[in-house]
Amino acid sequence: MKKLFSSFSAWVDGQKPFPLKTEYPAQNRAPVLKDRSGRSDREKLRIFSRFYTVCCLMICALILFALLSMAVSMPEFGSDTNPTVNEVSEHYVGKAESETGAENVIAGMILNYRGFDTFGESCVLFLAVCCVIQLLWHTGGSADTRSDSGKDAAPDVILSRVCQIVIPCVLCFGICVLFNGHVSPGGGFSGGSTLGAALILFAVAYGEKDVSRFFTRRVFDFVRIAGLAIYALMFGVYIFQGANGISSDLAHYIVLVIDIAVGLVVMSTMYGFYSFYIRGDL
Amino acid sequence: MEKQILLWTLIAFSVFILALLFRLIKGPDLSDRMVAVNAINTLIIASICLLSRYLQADYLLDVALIYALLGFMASALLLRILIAKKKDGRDKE
Amino acid sequence: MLETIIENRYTITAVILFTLGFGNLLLHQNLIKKVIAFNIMDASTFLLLATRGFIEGRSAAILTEGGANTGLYVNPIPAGLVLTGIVVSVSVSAFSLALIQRIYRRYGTVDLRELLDAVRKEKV
Repeated sequence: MKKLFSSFSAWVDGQKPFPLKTEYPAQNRAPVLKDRSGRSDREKLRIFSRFYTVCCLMICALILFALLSMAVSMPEFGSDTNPTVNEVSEHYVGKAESETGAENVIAGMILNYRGFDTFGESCVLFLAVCCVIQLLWHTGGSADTRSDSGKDAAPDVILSRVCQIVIPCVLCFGICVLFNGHVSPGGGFSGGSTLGAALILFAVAYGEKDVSRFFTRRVFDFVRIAGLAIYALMFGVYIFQGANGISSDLAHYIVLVIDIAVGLVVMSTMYGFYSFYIRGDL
Repeated sequence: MEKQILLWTLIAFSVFILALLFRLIKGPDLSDRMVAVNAINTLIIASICLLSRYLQADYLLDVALIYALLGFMASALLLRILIAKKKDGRDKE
Repeated sequence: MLETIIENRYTITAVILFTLGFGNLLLHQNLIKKVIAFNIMDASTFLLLATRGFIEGRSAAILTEGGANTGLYVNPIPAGLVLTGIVVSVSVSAFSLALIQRIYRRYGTVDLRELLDAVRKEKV
């Protein structure tokens, strides 16, 4: 069977050899440990790895069996007499426009009815960027980064010309998705991701030094903290006014502002991840 | 009639994507895998557009647009690292 | 038997994907492949959650001119859960990849066995 597959793939490919293991170069590869009880240590490792593989496969089979027996006894797919379709979802769909001011029921739900959830998620994104900054921040050549990571590559002509046309369109599209989040599909998370993608594309095409001219560390911190603070303040309005104390028009504007705050946090998160991984600095 | 045509085209695209998986798994070099991923991205964008017409849902076109952007960005980024690596390999020799 | 499988095809696909991801997580020795396996498990969970909200013959939960009639729209609650899940998945992957980059800078390898050898050698 294996021979059949290998001959078929050799025919497709023009007889290229199929490497069995991917090779990655390492700078200072640690030598394999060879102590006094040399051979028996290696034997123990081989026996243990076989035992480990068998155990893992058995555990996976057990999990598969348990989950499959759950899956076939689930309630009927796509019927409206499911237990999950109860008065909660009817309330959310029925009253979303009047109470939250959002026509996109899901946006109204995550920013108003389940707004604390989304606040927690924005905090998680904020915290993730803080942890990544703490781990990966270095300026200058103090850490031994590899010379082929591409961070000092000269910008490519084709890419720069194409991005001159593409990036303004992407930014406009991201802002459109962000601002229309409560009316059509989109919202804070997808709009913020698109804006972050536009920034990353700009950094890839023109080099990160160009981006760090307007997106310095101070601006980055300010945008992140402002997004989270605006979310907390706007949600504080709901807490102090009470959930039913806000008219529909005001709720319209509040949903829009909260959406923009979430979008700002997500955009800075995405660009922050990219920049700290590639170059260790913003 | 139109739904029949759309359905068969979607099935054909799925078969093409499965055929491209072969190159994705086998490709001995990174460039082969990147070409396969780019082709799969193009087919998926086409499938999403056809699906939006099949289901009469307009918002799926936004999804196709965002997916196209992300695919372009991913391949541009990977290519930059690949080119730097090849140049570094050639300089070392 | 076959009818139950075809009826619950999305749940069964999600379960199979989850088990594949879990097996990959346990069996691979490269740390980055473990992170990829984590992402596969997350994707299977999103598939499971998103298809629990589907109701036959109804459209997505964006209010159109039909007004706020509950009989026209899909259950919106599982979609909110998927949004939370996606954010958690992104954050966990980002943090673990940052840790892996620091490990690589320190020890020069991403393979688990070579890492354990190097750490044991350092302790000695």
